[in-house]
Amino acid sequence: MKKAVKILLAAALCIPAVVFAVYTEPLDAHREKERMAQFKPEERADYHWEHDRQALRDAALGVGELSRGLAGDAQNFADAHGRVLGIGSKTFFVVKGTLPRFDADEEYILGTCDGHAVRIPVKYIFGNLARDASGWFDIDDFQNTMAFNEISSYLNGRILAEVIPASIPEAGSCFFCGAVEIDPAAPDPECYTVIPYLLDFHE
Amino acid sequence: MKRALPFLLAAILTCCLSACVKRADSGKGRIAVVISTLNNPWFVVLGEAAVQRAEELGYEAVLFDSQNSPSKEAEHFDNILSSGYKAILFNPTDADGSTVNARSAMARGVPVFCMDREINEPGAAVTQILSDNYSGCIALGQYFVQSVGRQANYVEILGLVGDNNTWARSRGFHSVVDCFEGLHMLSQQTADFDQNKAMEVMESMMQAHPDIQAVFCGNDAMAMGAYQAILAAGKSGRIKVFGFDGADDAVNAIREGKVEATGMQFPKTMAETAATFADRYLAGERNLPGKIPVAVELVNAENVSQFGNFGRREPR
Repeated sequence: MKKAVKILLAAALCIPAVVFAVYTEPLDAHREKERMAQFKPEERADYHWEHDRQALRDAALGVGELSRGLAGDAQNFADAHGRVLGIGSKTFFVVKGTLPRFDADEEYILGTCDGHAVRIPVKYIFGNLARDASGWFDIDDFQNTMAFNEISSYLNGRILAEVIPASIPEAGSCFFCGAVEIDPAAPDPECYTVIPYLLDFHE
Repeated sequence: MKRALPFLLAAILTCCLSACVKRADSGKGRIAVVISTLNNPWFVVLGEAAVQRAEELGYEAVLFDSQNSPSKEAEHFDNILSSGYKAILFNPTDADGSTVNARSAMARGVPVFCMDREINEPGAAVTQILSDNYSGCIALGQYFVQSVGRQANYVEILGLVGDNNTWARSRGFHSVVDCFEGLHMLSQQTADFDQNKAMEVMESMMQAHPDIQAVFCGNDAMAMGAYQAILAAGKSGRIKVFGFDGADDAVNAIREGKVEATGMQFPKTMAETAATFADRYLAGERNLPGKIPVAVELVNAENVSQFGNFGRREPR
């Protein structure tokens, strides 16, 4: 009898100790936490910025190719060549081209490429266009939308610091590769506003 | 006649039983629609659209009002989880505080689909269908600069500080306006997305700063509250009001020149997508995306005729 009481007492003490000493969580939740802990958004952005801009340039549509594609079945063309984030009317493209001549004011480089007006902002770069057209990021990799949006600020900052020259040349030609957004329901804007990933000036 | 009576009764009974069986077969169970507050018409539309879509898909849908209270929300979850609901279409009260409710539902096998408001733990809901507040407020910020100019004093009225939407909107707006040194924010205060609070906040801001030229509000209810305060102070037309949501009263106010602009979120799109995703999940589909941003569109005097009834007038 005494032995049974001892065993019961020992069990009463040991079982709660064991239960509270061990932390359990579902495997899916644990893996999710681990993935989030390892994911560093700015490092990821830096990696793509350093390694993947050339690939963007290689895969970019020419401005003429874009405008001709959108002049046909715009929605089909957008589905085939553009990117969409979630549910919305805008499609994002990466385009490239050369402005044989350009004008520059305080805020934009302005010119014509393949018969289409192009403007490239050089002072203020807002929004998610550079992030979303690149296809480098998946929203599901981010803790929340705020973290996802911070990537845009970071990328826009790198563009302003590293792509836009401190002083824009007064003459010559300008090669550009950048992001543009189009609403396939209104596919022919007066001007393509291009957020540049790359700019190259030639005298 | 007496002999026919038992056959007649049996036939009626058979009909009743077969009707019951048919109803049980066609019903897919119950879906809970938990909304942060039904004190704001925008959220009423969100909740009702979710209920309507769930019912169209063959579910019985029940609407719960959390009254902007995390504890009320937790009570609802307790009731829902003990009542055999199949799924929860969820508009949380707090990005962090509501996570525990969503997580407990998921752990008990009841899938959660967030609408409009986000929770800060990606795995705590199957899918989160969210307005792209940040991009929407960038567009609004750019229009603000265009409308107010690059030299002006303005104030900002924030929504609930625990809600990610509040900060996504504010950060999107400031990512634009802060680039212009001549735009000075004189004050930034919260009014919890509430019209009456916003009216009081705007009154006190106008007393403290008589030289306000514009106010940016984190939602349309607060924009309407701010406008009431401006009207009462006799400053209508001198202080430009900017809201966010695309609520009908704000869209009408833009039409009448009382409000400058708002960001149209699409509550019906979000609610219908959440209900559809819940149905697909319950049918066995598992590769649903974790987050789906829904684009926000700028509504101003130029394009206001295209909007109304919490969306675009014409289907695109």
